[in-house]
Amino acid sequence: MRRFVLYISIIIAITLALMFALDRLYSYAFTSGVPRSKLQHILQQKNTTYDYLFLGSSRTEFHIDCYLIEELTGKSCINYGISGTTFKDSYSMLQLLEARGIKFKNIFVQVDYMYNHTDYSPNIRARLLAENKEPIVKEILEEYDISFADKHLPFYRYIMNDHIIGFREVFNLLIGRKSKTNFENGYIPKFGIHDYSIESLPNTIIESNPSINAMIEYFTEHSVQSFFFIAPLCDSTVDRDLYVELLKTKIPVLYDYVSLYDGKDEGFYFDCGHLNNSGAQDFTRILTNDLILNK
Amino acid sequence: MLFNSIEFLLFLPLVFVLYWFVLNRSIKAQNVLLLVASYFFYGWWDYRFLALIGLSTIVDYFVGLALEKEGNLKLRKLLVATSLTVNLGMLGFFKYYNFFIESWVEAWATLGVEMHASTLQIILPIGISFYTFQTLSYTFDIYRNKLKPTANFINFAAFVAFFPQLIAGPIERAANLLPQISVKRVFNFERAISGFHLILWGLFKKIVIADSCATYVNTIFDNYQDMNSMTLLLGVVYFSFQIYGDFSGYTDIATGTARLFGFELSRNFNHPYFSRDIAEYWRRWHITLFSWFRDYVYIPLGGSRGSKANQIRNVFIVFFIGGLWHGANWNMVVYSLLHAVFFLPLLLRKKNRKNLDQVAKNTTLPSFKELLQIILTFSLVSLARVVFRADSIPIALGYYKQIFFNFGFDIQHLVIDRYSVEILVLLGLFVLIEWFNRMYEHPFRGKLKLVKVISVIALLLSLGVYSDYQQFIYFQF
Repeated sequence: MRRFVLYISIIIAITLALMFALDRLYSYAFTSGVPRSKLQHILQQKNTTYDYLFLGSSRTEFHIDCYLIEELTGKSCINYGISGTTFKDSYSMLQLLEARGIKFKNIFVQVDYMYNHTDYSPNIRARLLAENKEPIVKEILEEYDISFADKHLPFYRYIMNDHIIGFREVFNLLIGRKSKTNFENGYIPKFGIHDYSIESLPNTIIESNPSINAMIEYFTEHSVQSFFFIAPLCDSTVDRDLYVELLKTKIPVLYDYVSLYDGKDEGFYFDCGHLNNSGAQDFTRILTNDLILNK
Repeated sequence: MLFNSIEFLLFLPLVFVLYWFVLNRSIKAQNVLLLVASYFFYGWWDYRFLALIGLSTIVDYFVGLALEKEGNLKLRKLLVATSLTVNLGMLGFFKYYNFFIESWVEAWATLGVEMHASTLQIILPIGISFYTFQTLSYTFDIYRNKLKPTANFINFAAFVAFFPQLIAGPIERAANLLPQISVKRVFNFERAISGFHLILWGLFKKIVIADSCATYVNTIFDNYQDMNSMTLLLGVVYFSFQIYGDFSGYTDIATGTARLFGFELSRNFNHPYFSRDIAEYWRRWHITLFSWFRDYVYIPLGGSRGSKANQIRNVFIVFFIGGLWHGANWNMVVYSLLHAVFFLPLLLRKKNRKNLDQVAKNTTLPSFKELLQIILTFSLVSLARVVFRADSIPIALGYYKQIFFNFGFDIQHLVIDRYSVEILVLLGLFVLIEWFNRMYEHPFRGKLKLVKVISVIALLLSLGVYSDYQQFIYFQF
């Protein structure tokens, strides 16, 4: 039995050593590798200024072509929309931007049913965990639900988020495989018409979203011109207009584009909640004219 | 409780320490601990269903004792019928009630008669198919005078509920496990180490192989209408590896865990994908189930004796019951009957017992003929698995149709943003490891044993799928 206990103890010690070594390797890959996510891109930037910055979920990421805005306005623009992002995540990104000295004169935030989500998204949580050696990230993570093992057990955070920050991502980082996303723009075009199944919006709205309130406070404090807008949704979306009316009671100055393409079957939608590249180009042009050029 | 859970990681060492360090002087105390631990293990999932295991245990315990005393054949048959009624009654109600009601209503509906189904929200108790077969074999063996019943209720209850194999087998015979429970266990270093190695290899098969494949399989089967022949065929291959890694991985963990406590379970898998024909495949895949069917159904029906018609009938009956055992739906029945059809040519040509030993026993590589046989057998098994994996027969037919009519040989990009080359490299590596260790249970042997162990731990840590947890497939049976 003594031999067995000794053998198992050695195996446990080796496993812990492996976890420690892999943790170091993965952390190194995320902090030093060519950026493959927008969060990494932010963390690797320093003292940049943008004229126009966009935040939000996929409905920002797939809808706003910053190169087009730069072409139309002659000013700098970046799309930091990330699929699945909540406002808590967006607020965390604002904190990261500030910590890295990234300034912006105008900010555009896409608002929709995400207003009802006060929590963080698993994607941003995982990406933050990957870089938790950074003091600002550590500070932000205090606001997230992080377990003892996430914080103190080496490699645990990478294991439990393997689909986002696991081996595949680290391998790509180590071999320097670039992301499909162009981080100078941030826009991801969707092509064709995919699935037009009907979406639905909630028919109620929460009392308030603390992260949105914090963002508004932040914009006022930093004298940033802010614009809240809602991007188009197909007209078959259940409770669409009801929810937008509810949203307007929470965000009085909301630029409403939700019904922009109602009745216009011009093949602008990739699916009910997202425009394809043609739609995104058209929408970016309209939004630029309305909120930047003609404001 | 699941083998690949944090709870089990705490549960196993605790029971191990109590078993070997605290209660090692009393076999009685050790068996009580095994029983309590087993009930705790099962009750962690849903304690209400412990009553079913308890009922099955009590009935077969007393039926066993009564059978030994009873000399009257009619009364002996009545006792066996009692055991059958209770065990199969439970199984029938919890597993098949809804299936039969729905099938009955659908059958009338095809004739234009509308009936109202009154199905219940019945939860299937996990492992019920396994432990009912285990207790039934005990009663059958006593009835056939092949086994003496045990008078020790704790031992018998521990045999029925033995936690390493309670949920998904191997389906143990009392003749193998009960005597081991009845004698004092002495800790054996080599056996415990081999148990640990089996657990490690089982975890690798489950967490790295099966769960990696699952991501691809789910995407391909969920979107089969948009897929071409090549992608669909790859989906079938991935599913074959998923189910093998999942089920044989579970069995390895079960067998390894049992060894830590000084028990030797029956072998349930023996590199089935290196089989040269379907008959050999069924001697290597889920061995304890099909040996159960052989001993308690096939042979009593006459087996391969009698006329050809009788032999064919027996084969179809066994595979039909085998299908129903797997699941209360027609997919499983059709899947099993497909295997019966594959098996038939071997039976009719009396070649079903041709390949009894391991392939390429004395050579490193198989001959060209053997390789072709292996590929053909694997292809048949994998293609039949479409029916096993699909949600319904029409979906399975749709999948086959797409394979044959949506002809295309480029590997499509999957929405999960994963590349087939990644999984194919992993599976290629796995096949090579399995091939070069086909005479053994696991690859941890030779001079580089420790290096291999460390490598597999590193692979488990880095390639394991932990975030997208996949339930063991055979838990549903």
